[in-house]
Amino acid sequence: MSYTGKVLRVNLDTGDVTKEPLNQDWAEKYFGGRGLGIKYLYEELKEGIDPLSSANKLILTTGPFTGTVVPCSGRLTFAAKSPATGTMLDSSIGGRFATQLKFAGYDVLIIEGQAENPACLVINDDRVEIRDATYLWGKGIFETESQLGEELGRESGVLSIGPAGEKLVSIACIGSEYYRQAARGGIGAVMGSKKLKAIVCSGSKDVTVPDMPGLLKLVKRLIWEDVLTDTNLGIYTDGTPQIVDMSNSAGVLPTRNFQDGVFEGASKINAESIRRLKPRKKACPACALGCGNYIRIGDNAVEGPEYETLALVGSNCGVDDIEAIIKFNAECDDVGIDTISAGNIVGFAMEMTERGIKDFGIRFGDIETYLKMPRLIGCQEGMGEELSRGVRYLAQKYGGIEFAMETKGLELPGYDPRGSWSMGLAYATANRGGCHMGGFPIGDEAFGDIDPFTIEGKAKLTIDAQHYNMIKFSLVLCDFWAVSLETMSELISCVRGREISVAELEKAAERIWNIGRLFNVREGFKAGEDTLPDRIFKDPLKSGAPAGRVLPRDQFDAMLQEYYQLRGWDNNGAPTPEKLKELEM
Amino acid sequence: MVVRIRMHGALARHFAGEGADSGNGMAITFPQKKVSVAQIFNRLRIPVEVVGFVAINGVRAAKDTWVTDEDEIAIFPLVTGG
Repeated sequence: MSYTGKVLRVNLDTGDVTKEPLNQDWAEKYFGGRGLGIKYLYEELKEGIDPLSSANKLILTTGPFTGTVVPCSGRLTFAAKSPATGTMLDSSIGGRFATQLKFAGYDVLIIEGQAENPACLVINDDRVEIRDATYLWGKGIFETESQLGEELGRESGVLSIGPAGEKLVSIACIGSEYYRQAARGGIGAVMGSKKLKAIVCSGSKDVTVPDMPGLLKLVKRLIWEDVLTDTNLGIYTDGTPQIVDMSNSAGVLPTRNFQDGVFEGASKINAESIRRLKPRKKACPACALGCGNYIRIGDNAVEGPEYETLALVGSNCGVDDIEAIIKFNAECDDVGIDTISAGNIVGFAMEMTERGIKDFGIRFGDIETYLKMPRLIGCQEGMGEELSRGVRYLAQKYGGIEFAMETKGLELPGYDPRGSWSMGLAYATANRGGCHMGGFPIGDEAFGDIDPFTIEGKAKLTIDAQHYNMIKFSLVLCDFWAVSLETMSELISCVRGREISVAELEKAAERIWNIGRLFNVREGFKAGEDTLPDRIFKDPLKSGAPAGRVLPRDQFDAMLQEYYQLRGWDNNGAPTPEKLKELEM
Repeated sequence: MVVRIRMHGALARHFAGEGADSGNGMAITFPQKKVSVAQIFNRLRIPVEVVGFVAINGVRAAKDTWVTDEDEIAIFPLVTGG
């Protein structure tokens, strides 16, 4: 129920298009979105494949609520093997594509192989075409989207890559509706390796639920009592920029390549400074929150900048000029690169230059050179060719490994683990590498009322936060809705037509976390890779609440061992046979 | 004693009235020499469940932290992700 029951499979090697039944057992156990995507990936990918080869697959999944009136259910999830890290990768995006895919009659879209020439996949209900896209190759995401909108109608959902994806840049993203991105782990490079410039989808079918009056009644109540309420206030007013002041006060705002956690220019890049630019609100389908801050300054428009961009592209590069950050953000969106990784790379290059280790010709706060970076990196021009390979590559080649801020090869998001020890554990254990979407324990800890400078209870806190996100992102509900497990249970029970308890959801969450880990174990990942950059263990933060603090390595190791034990994994961070049996995997 | 209180994010509009400028905040006078963060919540009728955390003079504080004359209190809402 609420699934279309169909998977669309497109092979770009052969041009074959097939429609097959959705694996109902997997949908039952992994729901949709992240869980279902990673399950398909795990089952269909061979061990050790090159992520940029024809053997990798780009898997797009919707969820059990996509296309219904359930609030905040409009997102789409991608899964593939990551070209940035070699781990499993999931990455999600807002906009209307997911609902259009469901209306076209598909829960899942699997793209295999590699086209010979640039291609555009066009889906209109049962009609699926692979069209030539040579004329779009080389164009930025904005122009590509405008042109496809003109040709195929602006109501369609469009996903596309920019020059960065085409050039297989390991931080390339996929963009949609100009200003939204599935950004992390190089998902855009996977699409580029398939020579797939864009996917356009429109649908006219229905999504059915077993009890429509019941669902409408439930959703009406939730919107008033659980969505447009105090618990979500921050998101439907300011959106994520509100986190700048919080992070700065907690001393965890990455500043000058994580050399500090307090930025003297924070008040110039916070929510108030964005409010002064008079943003307009944008929302995904079925969303009452409308988190998007649409801002246009001259030729540059963005939705945001979001907190992660303000932190990594702003304070982490020593930049407090909000208009420069917006311009940098817009350039990243157009060439198609991830702002989190881009901000880290530029910050790292700045520190390398200032320390005299390698002169990249850019220093903290040098806005003129900084603004050239997105295009140089995305198009692999000049020094951008090397920078586009990411922080790990640069550190291995030139040094600075102790302040290369990445985990498993993925550059860190905007919360310094020295001021939030649980977030350190969340980064270290995240299956796709340094990532804040695997779990967000800082919300209860440094941003809540739990002591950030102890390891006591942190393994459990982190696991609970990871499981909460696994449920949310596999039901495909937006991160920004502070929805309870009980409400998620109520919603999925209503849509499935049978009671699904919180306990059942929690078990599914654990299963979903473990399938991601199994993928990585099969690829040869071991416990030693569940770690953090040396700077976190050795360099004390300078300012604010965490001044003088590191996350001591022995404490981190103890926290990690407790984490493995609680997860029922062995000392190498691999799930034990007993655990897998318990989870019916 | 007088403390200056800045409500961040949507808390500003919600508790200080539409259009309130959280940049300047509001000055609140207490008869005591010091009060706890929890007492400030009580005085302003801020439901604890909507508060993420509190900073005093820019540094994260707990609910039982004491606030004294001329302190600046920043109150942040809950967040679910960045």
